This record gives sequence, structure tokens and C-alpha cells, in this order.
Amino acid sequence: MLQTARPTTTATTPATTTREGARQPDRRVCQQRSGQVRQDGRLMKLASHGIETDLPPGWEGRIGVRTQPSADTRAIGDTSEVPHPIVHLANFALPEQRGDFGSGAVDLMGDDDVLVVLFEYGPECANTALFKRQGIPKDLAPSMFSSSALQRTMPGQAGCQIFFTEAGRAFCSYTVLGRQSSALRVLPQANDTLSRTRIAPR
Amino acid sequence: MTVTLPRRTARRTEAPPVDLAEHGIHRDPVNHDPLGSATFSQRLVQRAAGLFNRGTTRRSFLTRTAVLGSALAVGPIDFILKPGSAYAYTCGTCSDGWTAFCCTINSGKNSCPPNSFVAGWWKADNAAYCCGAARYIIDCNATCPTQCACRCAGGSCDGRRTCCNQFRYGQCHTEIACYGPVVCRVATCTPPWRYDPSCTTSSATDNKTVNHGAPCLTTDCGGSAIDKKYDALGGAGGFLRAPTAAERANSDKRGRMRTYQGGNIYWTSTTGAHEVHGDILKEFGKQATVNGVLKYPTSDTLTSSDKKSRYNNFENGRIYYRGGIGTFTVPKPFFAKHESLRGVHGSLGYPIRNVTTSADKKSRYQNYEHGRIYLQGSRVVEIHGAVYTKHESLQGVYGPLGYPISDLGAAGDNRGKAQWFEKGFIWYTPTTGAHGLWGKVNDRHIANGHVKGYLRYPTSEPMPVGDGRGTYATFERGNIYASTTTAGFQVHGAVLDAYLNTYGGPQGSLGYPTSELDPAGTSGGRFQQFEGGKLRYNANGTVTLVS
Repeated sequence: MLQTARPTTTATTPATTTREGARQPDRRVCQQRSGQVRQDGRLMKLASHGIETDLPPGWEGRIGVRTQPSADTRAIGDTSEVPHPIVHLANFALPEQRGDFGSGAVDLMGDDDVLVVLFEYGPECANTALFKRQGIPKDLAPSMFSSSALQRTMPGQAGCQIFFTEAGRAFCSYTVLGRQSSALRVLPQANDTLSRTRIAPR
Repeated sequence: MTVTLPRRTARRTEAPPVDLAEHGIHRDPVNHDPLGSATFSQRLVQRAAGLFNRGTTRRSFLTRTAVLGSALAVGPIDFILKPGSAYAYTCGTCSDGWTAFCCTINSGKNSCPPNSFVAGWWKADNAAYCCGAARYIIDCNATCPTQCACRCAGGSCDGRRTCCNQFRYGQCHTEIACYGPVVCRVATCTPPWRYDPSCTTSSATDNKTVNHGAPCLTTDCGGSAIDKKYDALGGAGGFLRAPTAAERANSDKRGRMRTYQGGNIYWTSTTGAHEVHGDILKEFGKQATVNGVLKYPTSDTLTSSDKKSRYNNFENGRIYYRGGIGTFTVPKPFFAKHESLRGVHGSLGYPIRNVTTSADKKSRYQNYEHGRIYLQGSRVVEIHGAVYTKHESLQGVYGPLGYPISDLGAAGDNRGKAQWFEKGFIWYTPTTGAHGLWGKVNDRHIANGHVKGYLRYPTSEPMPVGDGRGTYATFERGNIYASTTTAGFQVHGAVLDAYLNTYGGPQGSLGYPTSELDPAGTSGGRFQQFEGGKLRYNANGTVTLVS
């Protein structure tokens, strides 16, 4: 059963432009999520599953958890699987059909587009060697990006994965730039969005 | 306009390591960007091809590069000079940007190749490859430092790439931070945490990959590896009969198992699935199964070539079953020693007892039909045949020889054999049999060249003379005498005859020898000293008492 968190307004930063994307939820995929809707002059708060962010003007986002497979839904996985929250934030219109690390969305990116994914892992991963960094990254720099650090390499694009633990929860932050040479222009937006993102203990 | 496809050339100057670990970025510092090393001309081709890749279907590389002129016409100079790919991108223009499946690059095996590790996974729902169930894709990332270079899998631009994409899904082996590019992908219908217990159950999904395939991949509808093994063994109609419990993960977090009425099946990603049943299973249970020394089975139950036994191989040993005799475990390191001697077909034969701790607590040992293997610390030594029988007759490790410290080996004279013990030797030939030497008698035998010396092989052990003082041993060509107050000395030939028959031996007037016979050619004659006098060996072969 789908549960949708209602966006709320928070601040009064003037909105710039926002491209509207499809907003119809994929009921099979997500149990719970919230979507940003542009409201001029307001930051949109997105909050669900202990993750909260204030989307800048021109950005949209989703926080969701995929459906837990059951004995009757072998087609979507094993009953032992544990889906965790996934956050997709972008300065372009997100398509409804997206892979957890943004496939489907990255195909649509323009040169000044940026996609930020926060993918959560189980608590057993927190503070392990891979996730030893503490705190959500808010200081992405062009030097961190690589044209090879992509789930699927796309000409011109660049990516950066950062594994971290925040509030006892393990995450991977995956940021994709539509065009690597646009990093200096778009990374401040991504950093601003990440700075407005908060993760609470489970 | 036509363009000549640039050949892959040597990489530009190696980039310095870029270690971003403090930021939570764990890409291999020495292979920070496998796509980033490129010549100008390679990047030129890539940029041109990349331009046309966007929004188009897959085209051949040549088709796209043939319109390089158009690309340059619409592409500003920064398009050409952007950092990025070379060969890999060139390859990428005729692939889809994804990494190849492991079976394409790993000799047909759908598993991670050497120098890579299971680093993460995702699934695609409703997969035809898994008969409608979810299909799991497991990434094999290169271990650090990366040992591979970005290229097209199989060297063909029709294939996907390998060692190019520095991406990590991150659910597996989280104790390993550093990772190189994805070498290849394993496709399976088995959930990854069952394929490799280091993987967590944190689910990731990418349904756009559901139809990714390779010629070496087939549909997989048979359930887990344990299920497939069970089916291959005849399922419920086979000797395992019906399952008695659900498949489960073992407490070692490494493997899985399932129990059946007629036996068990155990599985790990490295050993595969193998059954263990009957008396061998009972013995495996006594050895604490996978939590004991043997670990996981590496074979089903097999029959020995001599038809006398059945056995299962395990990661750390073997269990033999012999009807009417017993079932015995040969664990590591006994197993390696036994196998080095041709196993049950060699000099030791079959085990007849499990490994036992010696009464003095100094060793562990295992008895075989024709001998024994001792483990002392890290030293593993076998003893067998007539030498073993002799050693045992001399009270074994508690007797005058103590523990063996070498295997039985050639004596170096192309005739007999020798085994070294803590306090002496046992020497063996088919004609003399096996005899042990120790103490002062052994010291003299060694000093005089042992079996390559004059005396050759012993024909007795050191025996008491009967006077409460001394011992002696007989050899093929003489004797050695020693006492509490004298060292061991060899007496042989005519001197020995006179010593024993004329002067009464060590209990006679001469007592024990106190020197060796002077060597041939000694000026002034050849003498041998005794406690009670001196014998002279004359040139005519006679012996006289000098004093």
C-alpha cells in the first residue's frame, strides 16, 4: 500500500526554474515516498524514513523504499531481501522508471544536470571499513569525480561515490554530473542540496 | 571525411596516486580513473563517437567515426579536450557502457576471476533468465592494487567492457574498503548472500538490466546450488530421500547446508555443493562437521580405485569408510603426508584409527595399516614397515630412540634405508633387517661413516655386555663397544676375533677398547688400545698382545 509523505514549505528562497516531470508514483516499486512539487518562493521539504531535505528551487526528489518481496512475489526477489530507503535528488525531471543508482535518469541528463543518490544499507554495514567516513558529504569537488566512476559509463558524464555512516546508518552517496566539464557550475547546487539533507537515527 | 582509427598506444605518463579515502571515496588510488588515460587522438575519436552515441541506437564504431568531421563541426574545442576515455571509450562506443559478464572473460566460468572480489549486487525483477523470478547481478571488482587494464572483453568491440567502470554497489565484503574497477559481473538466480555470505541482504534494484545477457549465460530455473545437487542425485527418489529441514546458512557465515533423510548437502561458493552420507556423515559429525578441522566437503562420496573403501574429500582432509573395519578421518596435515606417500596405495596403507594424542602429550599421531604418522609441533613424520615394527619393539617414542624426526629415506649407498630419531637411527636392509642404534655406539657408527664406513649395517641393537658397565652392537663387519667410562670404539676383523676368542672380550683381561685400530700404513705398526692392554695387528694378519 502506497503511503505518500506530503511536501511542506519551509523557507522563502526565491525559486528559479523547475522543469516539471512525471509525478505518478510507481505503486509496485515504492511503499512510501514523497515528491517535491514546485512552489515559487519556497523551499520544498522532503521527509520520509528518517531522511529530510529541503529542495532548492529547480530541484525535485524522491525518498522511497521498494516493496519487500514476499512468498507470493518471487518475481521481485527473495523473502530475505531487505529494501532500505533510497533518495533521488536532481535538478532535472526524474523519470518514473529508475534504477536505484539512477539508471533511466542518467540517460536523460543534459550538460548542466546533476543527480544525487543516497542509497542506504543495513545497519550491519555501518562503521565498517567501507563506511568508516562519518557524516553526509557536503563538499563535493571536481577532483572527486571520474568519468569511470559510473555504474554505466556514458560519454561526457562523471560520477563520484562516497560511502559514509551518519546517525548509525550506512549510506552511499552517488552523484552524477551530466557533463564533467560542468562540475564547477553544478557542484555548488549539489553541495547546497546535500547541506540541507539530514539523516536521523533509526 | 574519413578518419584513421588510432591504435591503442602506450598510456600517457602515469598519473600520480589519488587517494580520496579520507573523503569516503575508496576507488583504487593508483588506478583512480581507468578511463582517464588517453592520448589526444584517442580522446578525439572518443569525443566524436560519444557525441553520436547520445540519443542514438548502437552503431558501429566506423560508422560513427566516419562522421567525425561533422562532430568536430558542431563540437567546440572543449568537447575534444574534455578529460575522459581512450581505448575504453572507443570500445564503449560499440558497447553499451556496461561491464561484461564473467563467463565471457573467465574461461566460461560464471564466477569472479583471480584478483577480484565480490563487491556488491543488484537485482532485476521478472527475469526470463530465472524463469520469472528475480535475477541477481553480482559485481566482481578488482582488488587493490588493480591488476587489470580497461579494455573490451574478449578484445572485441562487440563485447562489453572489463576493468573500466569504477563503481561499487557495496553490499559485499564491506571490510574491504579499497576497490578497483568492475572486472566482470556474475549473473545468478541465487540470492547473493547465499552465493557469498559476505554479502548483506540490503536490496538494490535496476530493472533496466533484466535482459542483459551473454552467449555463455543460460537460463537458471533450478533454485539454489544445493537444490541442483539434490536434483542431480535423484532428488527424493535418490539415496538422500526427502529433505528434513529447509536449506540454511551455517553459523560460520561462509556456507550453507540442507539435511535429508539419507544425508546432507553442504555448499560454499568456493567448494560448490557436495553430499555427505552414511557412516562418513556420522564421522563428519564427530569431527564437528564444517566447524571442525575438515571444513567443507569438496567431493561427493567416491569409491577408491582398489574398491576397498569409499571416501569424501574435504577442504582439510578426507574421511575413509571401509565396511567391517571402520570409518576414519585423515585430517590436515596428516592427509598431506599420507598423500605424499601415495595414500592408501602407498607404504602406509589405510588409516585404522583416528588421530590420537600421545600419552606424553608431546605429539598427535595416526595409525595406518603399515605404519604411523606423528605430528609434533609443525613437524609431520611418517614411519612404516620394518622400521616401524622395530621402533615399536623398542618401546616406540618412549624408548631409547624417542620420536622420529625424518621420514624413512635412502641411506645413500644404493642399498639400504635409514630413519633419523631424536636419539639415534634405525638402519634397514632386506638382508640385515631393521636395527636401531643410539648412545655411544651410535655416535661411533656415525663418526666412522655409518653404513658407508667399514662396519656397514647393524645386525643388532646396542645390547648389555652383562657386566653392568657396557654395551655393544654387532654389525655386518665388526662390533662397537662402549662403557660408562669409555667412549664407543669399533673392533673388527682379526683384532675382533682375538679380542673375543683369545682375550675374553670386554669382560676379559683387556676390558673395553679405548681407541680405534690404527689405520693401515701407520709407521711402527697398527695398534688398538684397550683398558687392559694393547693389541697389535701384524702385517701377516695375526694379532699379538703387546702389553
